[in-house]
Amino acid sequence: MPELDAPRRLTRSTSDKWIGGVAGGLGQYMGVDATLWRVGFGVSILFGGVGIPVYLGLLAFLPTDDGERAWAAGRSRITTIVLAGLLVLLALTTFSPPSFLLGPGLFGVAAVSALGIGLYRAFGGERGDDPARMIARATLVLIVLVAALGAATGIGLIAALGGGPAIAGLSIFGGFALIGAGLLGGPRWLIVPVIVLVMPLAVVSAADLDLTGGVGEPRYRPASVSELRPEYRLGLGQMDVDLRRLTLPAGVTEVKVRVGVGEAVVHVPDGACVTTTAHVGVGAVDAPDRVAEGRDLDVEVPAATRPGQPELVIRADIGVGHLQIDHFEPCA
Amino acid sequence: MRRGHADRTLIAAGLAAIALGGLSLLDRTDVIDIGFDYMLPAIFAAVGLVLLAAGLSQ
Repeated sequence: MPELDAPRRLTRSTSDKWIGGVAGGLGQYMGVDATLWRVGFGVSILFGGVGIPVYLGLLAFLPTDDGERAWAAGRSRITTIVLAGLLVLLALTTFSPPSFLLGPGLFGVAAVSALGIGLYRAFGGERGDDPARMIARATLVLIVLVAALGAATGIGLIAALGGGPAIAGLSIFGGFALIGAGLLGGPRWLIVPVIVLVMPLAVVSAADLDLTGGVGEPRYRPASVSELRPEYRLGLGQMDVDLRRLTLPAGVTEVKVRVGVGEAVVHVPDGACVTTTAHVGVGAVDAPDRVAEGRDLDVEVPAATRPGQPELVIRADIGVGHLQIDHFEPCA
Repeated sequence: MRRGHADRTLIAAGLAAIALGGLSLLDRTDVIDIGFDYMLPAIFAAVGLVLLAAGLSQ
């Protein structure tokens, strides 16, 4: 056992090893059970195999905890550089979708993994547990994790259906409760229910999600301006607003489109002068002369309208999803 | 077990929850309009605060 005051070094374990002791060494260095690292390496193989070059690199460049030098330490500098370059190249080849989860998906995987490790340790899990106890604890963590994800989804839905202020109030109350528990030395697992409250609320707020418009695939085909609704709203699904039968009067005609999660397609009369003003929390806008994707999109495509000419103004607000403006014949 | 002693990690998590909850409350009541550009750094800062407190507690 290493001295308590000795500086921690990342080494390969000789006592906790299945292949090369890399996972065991990482477990000892990070204070996390080596099995989780082994599972992580195994999962990474399913997602493109990035774990293989990482494992090989650590195997080659780490010494063992009994003082044996790393394999690479006994080689020439050229050999070491070539080997490192090959491993980096090998790792980079795995970084291509769909074999590797890049972007927001990776953040989600990292967040769930961190929550899982936190729960495992909160339930008393330590490295060196016997396998039966470890499996029991991991099962418990998995159940709690699934329940937490389910609860977070439900809370996100409630927030998106108009219960946001109430959930925010509960989150603030939970925060004060945590402070109280902290001052009294309460258990740390109390953080989990507060995370389950706060995180979906934060995402719903950032994406400006609003699911109050219902669920479905409605199609609207107003025949005249008098049939236009003040707002076309949908909570979840795909909405199709076909304005091609409209004869636009002189001046500005405004159409508001609001979708929580999903897609809105707006068909515009041929030859009409169209101004598009759109906000998309996360997703894409596909309008004439303008295509954009990402998060927090604010798109403004003004029409080249002459004085007295009819103008159609589309104001769209999409929480998560896609806005498409079909306009085949430009402003006359 | 830490009973009887103040736990800085819990206190930091509480402060972070109050901050994120407050931001969300202001957003959902249309006082401010906060997007991912502000919310993501706020979330990362909150997580960082809790991890820092947890690290200092060890």
